[in-house]
Amino acid sequence: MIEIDQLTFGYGKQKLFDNLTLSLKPGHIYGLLGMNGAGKSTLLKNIAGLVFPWSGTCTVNGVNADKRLPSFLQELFFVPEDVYLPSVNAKQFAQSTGHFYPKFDHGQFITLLADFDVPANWQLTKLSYGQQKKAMIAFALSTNTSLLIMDEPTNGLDIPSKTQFRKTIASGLTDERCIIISTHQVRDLDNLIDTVLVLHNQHIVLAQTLDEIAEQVSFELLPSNSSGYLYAEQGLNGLNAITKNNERSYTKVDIELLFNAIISNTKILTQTLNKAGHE
Amino acid sequence: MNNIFNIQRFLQYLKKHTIEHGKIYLLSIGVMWGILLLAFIFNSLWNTPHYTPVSTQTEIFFFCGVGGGSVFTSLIFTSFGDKKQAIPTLLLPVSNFEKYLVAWLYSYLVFQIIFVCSFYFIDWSFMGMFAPKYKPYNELFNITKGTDWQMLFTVYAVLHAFTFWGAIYFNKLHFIKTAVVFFIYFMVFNVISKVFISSITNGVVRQDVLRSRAVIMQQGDWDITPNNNLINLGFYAIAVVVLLLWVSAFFRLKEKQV
Repeated sequence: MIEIDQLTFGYGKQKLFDNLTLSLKPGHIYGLLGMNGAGKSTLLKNIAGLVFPWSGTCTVNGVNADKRLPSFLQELFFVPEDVYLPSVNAKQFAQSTGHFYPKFDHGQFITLLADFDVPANWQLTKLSYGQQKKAMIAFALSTNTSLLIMDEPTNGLDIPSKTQFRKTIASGLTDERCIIISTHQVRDLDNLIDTVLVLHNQHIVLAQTLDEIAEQVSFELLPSNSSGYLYAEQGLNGLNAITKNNERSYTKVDIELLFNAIISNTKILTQTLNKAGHE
Repeated sequence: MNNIFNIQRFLQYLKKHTIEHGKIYLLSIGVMWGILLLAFIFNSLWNTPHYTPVSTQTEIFFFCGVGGGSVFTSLIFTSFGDKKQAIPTLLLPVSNFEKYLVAWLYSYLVFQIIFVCSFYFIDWSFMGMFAPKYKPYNELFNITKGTDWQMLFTVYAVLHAFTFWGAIYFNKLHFIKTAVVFFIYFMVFNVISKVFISSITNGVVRQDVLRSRAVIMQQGDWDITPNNNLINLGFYAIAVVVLLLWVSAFFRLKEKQV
């Protein structure tokens, strides 16, 4: 579906990606993680054709993203971090914009608005920031595009809305659809994503499904004086640690701990995980 | 699927653009009417009896049309430059050409039609209400009379092409930045042509580029005015510049990044 090959890109003289290569398939919800300024949003913009690579290619279903052809765009929806909505109500917005997406489902949009508790008859610009974001997410899901990109979608959402967001996104995934969610609030992705992508130091340093990760490493609470772990952080009750999963016992992946371990340049951990990914 | 132009998709986009920008366009028409009314009121108060001479009507038509059109055109691509609006605008499944065409239609054709209609409505109403009902006081400016209309629409086309190009080239302060670039080019063009003519005539050149006329001081004054064929050639040259700027604006839109 998405093939990024030897992508090099940056702003001015600042290089953000250096020969970055990545392949994403439909039927997955990808969580794109990275520190502030790592280039998460920029990578998403490259995929959507909003910026053009310095070198390398970025194709979606075999089409170069930077051409921004209507046939490509009608299968892509991008929810930016700061949403913009025109001064019409949600129903009018659906009427004026929905028909550009061949699989847009008006009934689904109205249902999702109700699920998110967003009034359909209010002028969109009069809604709060969080409600505008929810309206945009509802519209994005209703377009039923094969590629859905969301940049920091949970920013501005209250706690019940975040729960609803996770439920809605999970139910919106089909075998033909690929969803990419970028965030630095990794807890928001718990129980939602199935594949973790970590962008660090101009490269994708991890691209693994949660199952593959749980197969290789365990997430455990160890006594404070323990040793022999791959990475650990001191918690209230001991060490939150990542250890090698020698016994093939599956534990729930702690995405935040995993992310911290990777950006702390714990080479043995990335080597363990990436080795498993290549096998 | 035709990825360059599809009439149904184009009309849908035109409708969406009109729905989403309708309120601001109506407000702009209101502002235009206000300015035209003020211009007529001030001018007619100045004269006794209270009327606006044809020459003044022409000036109002020219300055309000060209000024208003340039400001309006410079804002036509705002959604491509504003970071929040640029993503949904660029990613809407409509071709670059269709997006371009809607902007061009609104800023060039629709603006001129609405401006001419508004001007005549206000001019006719104002003259009907306040000016004496006999000549020359009730004479309306005739847009099709004489050769001035060619100049009026040529100047509008040139300024539209510049501001249209600036509207997509710059992300913010489109009008000011375009005006600065325009005047820099105008000055440079003026200086280059003066230096060039001086170098081939060894005279001091005083010239009026806008009226296609040059006065060369060399053992007396030489007034050079081109004949009609050359003036027509000048119009063609201007048409080429206008087309080049419009085409350049299209490619700039196509290459827009956010």
